[in-house]
Amino acid sequence: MRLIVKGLEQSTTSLEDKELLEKLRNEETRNFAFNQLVRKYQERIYWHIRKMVIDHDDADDIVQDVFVKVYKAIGKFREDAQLFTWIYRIATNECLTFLNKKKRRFFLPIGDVEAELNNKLATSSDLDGDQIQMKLQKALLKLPAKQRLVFNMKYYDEMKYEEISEITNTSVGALKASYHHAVKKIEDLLKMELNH
Amino acid sequence: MNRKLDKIEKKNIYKVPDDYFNTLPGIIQSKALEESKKSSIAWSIPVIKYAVPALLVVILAGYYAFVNEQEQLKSAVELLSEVETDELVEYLAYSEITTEEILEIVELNEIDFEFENEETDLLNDSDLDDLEYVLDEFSENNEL
Repeated sequence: MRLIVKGLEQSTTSLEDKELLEKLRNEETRNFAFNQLVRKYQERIYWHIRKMVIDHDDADDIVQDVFVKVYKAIGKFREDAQLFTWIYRIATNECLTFLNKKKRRFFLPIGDVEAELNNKLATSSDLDGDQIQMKLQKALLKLPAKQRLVFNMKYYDEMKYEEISEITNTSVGALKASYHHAVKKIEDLLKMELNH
Repeated sequence: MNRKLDKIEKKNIYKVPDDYFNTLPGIIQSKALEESKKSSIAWSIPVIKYAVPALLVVILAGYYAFVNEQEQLKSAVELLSEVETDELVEYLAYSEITTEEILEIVELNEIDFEFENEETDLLNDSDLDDLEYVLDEFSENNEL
């Protein structure tokens, strides 16, 4: 098993988005360009999803679905947004759909979905973190899914509020408030956990 | 231990199987090609190619007809509710419809009415007994 310390790895030899899009729209170069696109964004998208669904197999299924959707819909992509923002938006929607489906399938209240994710976190063998890291992940699972998404994008992916705003279709002000509340809640939860 | 987020090392604790990101593009590419082949095969079948748009037209036409009908029904009821009760009574009085014809149309179970005295009990009310007595008397006298 390989430990990925930082998710935002990017190939230096990858094509620029503009060039990628041109090649994706050309029947002859489409498959080559799609392969390049997956290589360029797969890690960012995978880690974005993995942090939301915790389990590798679930994340693997979702990341595949995301890129298949990208392949099918690339013709409809209007360049009023950045390519990576558009892919991120698809991935975000897929994550939320997955978590909602899970809740509906088992008629679970949100607390039970959290318990299930917590259980995955506790029993998963493909984790590598010290006590404080594990407690941070557990605290994160207590946040509502949308707030957790915002927190992950800001804290781990170090994205600008403007970028998150484009992805989530939420105002920058609302995102700042959401992130601020998330940080406060996490710090309170950590304080409680570590005092036990 | 520090509880402040900015003092905690930012670290990704999750791991992936070896070689995962080297094999993933190939897996995704074959899946994408397979899916797009499936949908193009489906659209190349003439029955599906022509049946789907035709079916959509039928569904839309049906929906339009249904909505239109509902709107018409609704507007008839709305129009009637706009007419003053006095005007209705006047119209009925001057029209050639008889009371029997009106009663035939009216569904009694749809009419809401309340007794002025809520405690009135039709089965045990002593007035009914009195009425029955008067009727008996009347029929006896007529027979004689």
